[in-house]
Amino acid sequence: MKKLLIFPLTCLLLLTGCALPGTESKASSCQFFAMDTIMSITAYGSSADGAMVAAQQEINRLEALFSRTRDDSDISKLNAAAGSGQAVTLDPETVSLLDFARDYAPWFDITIAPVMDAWGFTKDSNRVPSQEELNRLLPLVDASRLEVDADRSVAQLPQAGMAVDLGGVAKGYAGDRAVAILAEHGITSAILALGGNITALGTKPDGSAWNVAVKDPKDTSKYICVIPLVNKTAATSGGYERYFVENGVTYHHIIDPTTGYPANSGLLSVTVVADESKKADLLSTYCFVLGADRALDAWRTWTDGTELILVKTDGTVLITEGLEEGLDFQGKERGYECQIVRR
Amino acid sequence: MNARSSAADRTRPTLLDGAVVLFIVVAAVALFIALKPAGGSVLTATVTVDGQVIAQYDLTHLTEPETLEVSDVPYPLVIRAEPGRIRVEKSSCPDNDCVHIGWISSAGGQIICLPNRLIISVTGSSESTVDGVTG
Amino acid sequence: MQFDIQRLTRCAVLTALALALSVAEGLVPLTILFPLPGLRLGLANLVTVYALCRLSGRDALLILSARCLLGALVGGNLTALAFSLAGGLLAFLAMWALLHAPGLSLFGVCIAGAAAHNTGQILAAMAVLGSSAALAYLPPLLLSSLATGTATGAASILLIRRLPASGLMRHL
Repeated sequence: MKKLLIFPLTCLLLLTGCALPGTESKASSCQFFAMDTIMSITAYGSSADGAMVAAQQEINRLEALFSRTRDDSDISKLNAAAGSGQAVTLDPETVSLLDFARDYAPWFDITIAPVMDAWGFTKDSNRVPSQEELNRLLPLVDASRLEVDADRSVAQLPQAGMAVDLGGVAKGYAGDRAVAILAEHGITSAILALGGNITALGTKPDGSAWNVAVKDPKDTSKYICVIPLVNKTAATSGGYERYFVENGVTYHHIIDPTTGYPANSGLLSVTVVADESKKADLLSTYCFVLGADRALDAWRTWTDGTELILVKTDGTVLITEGLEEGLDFQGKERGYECQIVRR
Repeated sequence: MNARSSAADRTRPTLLDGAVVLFIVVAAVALFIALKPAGGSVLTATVTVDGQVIAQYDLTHLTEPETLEVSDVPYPLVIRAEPGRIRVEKSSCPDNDCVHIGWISSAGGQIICLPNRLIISVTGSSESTVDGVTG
Repeated sequence: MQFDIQRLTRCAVLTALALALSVAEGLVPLTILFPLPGLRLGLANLVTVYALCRLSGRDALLILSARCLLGALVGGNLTALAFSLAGGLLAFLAMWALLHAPGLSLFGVCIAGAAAHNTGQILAAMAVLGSSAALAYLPPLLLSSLATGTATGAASILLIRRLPASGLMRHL
């Protein structure tokens, strides 16, 4: 029996032994856990190791500012003072990120925290809140009531019970800062994966673009497509990332701030490619809640080269024209149909 | 009532027994070939519980060992990832199959802890095709 | 009436035997020697073969179901029931069919039974996990069933020669 078992095992070993070793110049990479997700950085060049340590420290510093679970973070201080009438002095970076993010309300709302808590998505104890409970909580969700004064570096939540959660944009902002730190250390070629956000700094050492795959939301071991990426970030939001099932109904974690219920916009996932990582991160959630039609309307007004990949529940994959070049669509054999959207 | 069969009275293997053996061997080999993993220089280990990914390790680029304690399951266990390989270090499940299987270090390798509905799978990909995955 | 009581007793004794065999087997897990989840000798299958040859298909099925149910009660978990039922039923079907085919010996029947048992367990694992990941274990398990099937085949030949149906009660 031992012999019989050894045969397939040997074949397995031989198969992997055949793979060619990497031919690229020296790559350094590190993996760490921050902001509730797995992050990895791969950088090329002689100063890569030191640069990555600095980038990781920067992400840890930002987590300490933005975390909702740490009592001494800026966000916890701001939330604790909600309704007290006192403006809270915050780090200028926190204030500018609050200022950036609140402009996308009502479709993306950083004050969604009370509703997210009711669903248990922040505590991993999922439940379906009653309509009365949501009716009570929804008035607390309104980022336009968040008072931000950038000059004095203060912010204030006007009503007790209101709370800010930067979860939808903090990782994105961390990506921008990490790339800036790597660049300061002379790195010209790196790829960062902060959770599902992929940020490409420069090109690969051989001058070619980084190849970034977009997961198939129905089978996350497969890809919908692969796109080339240079000095941009690709970020994805999809209901498949976190969800729970109760009484046969699936509830995912992307809550529509206008209804308090998981966004039911006919989309399985949205991938946004943008120059700024924080923008890609935020817009992926924003567009998921908007739905395909309104997301494309919004896209037509953008002039900064931000592009979209929208995977609809009916199997249609809408890809905006800026991503057409170099696109490798792989969803066809699993029933997806690719459509290029023009302006 | 009694389903007496001639097979019950034989004491030596027959030619048709050989056919049964052959059929099973062919099925096993065919299945093995069909499941042949995609090779590649980059190994990724994915840990899922109840179908949801709880951790992912880039085994090829891992520089130092990492330990993951999974406590949110019926039988808490400890997973250890090292450069190029991963295993279940200890587990409180009754049969401990997941621990006995030891290290897995090649594409297609699997550790399954059934009582916890936990799967550790190692997949291979070649570095040149995809540099990052979003989603 | 007398027949029914005899049959009932026979089935009960065999069920107890099957249960004891599977518990005994669990005490010395083969998986320590060969790290392959799901690997076991399949001694309880012996009883199924015996019942198929010396009693009837209906009795064999009855004994099998009772053994699985009681085993799950003893072990105290429902997943185990799904596993032993999926494996046991598939093995039962394979052996029942092959016993009706001419020209086979109990070696072939038991090997097919062991392979079917493993296949059933993997199918149950796939259902429980909701993933095809467990399928990777099937080829080595199928190969191992050649060995375990041969072992149980040899044992079943001995058992059936020593214990003819009419003498079962006397021997026990």
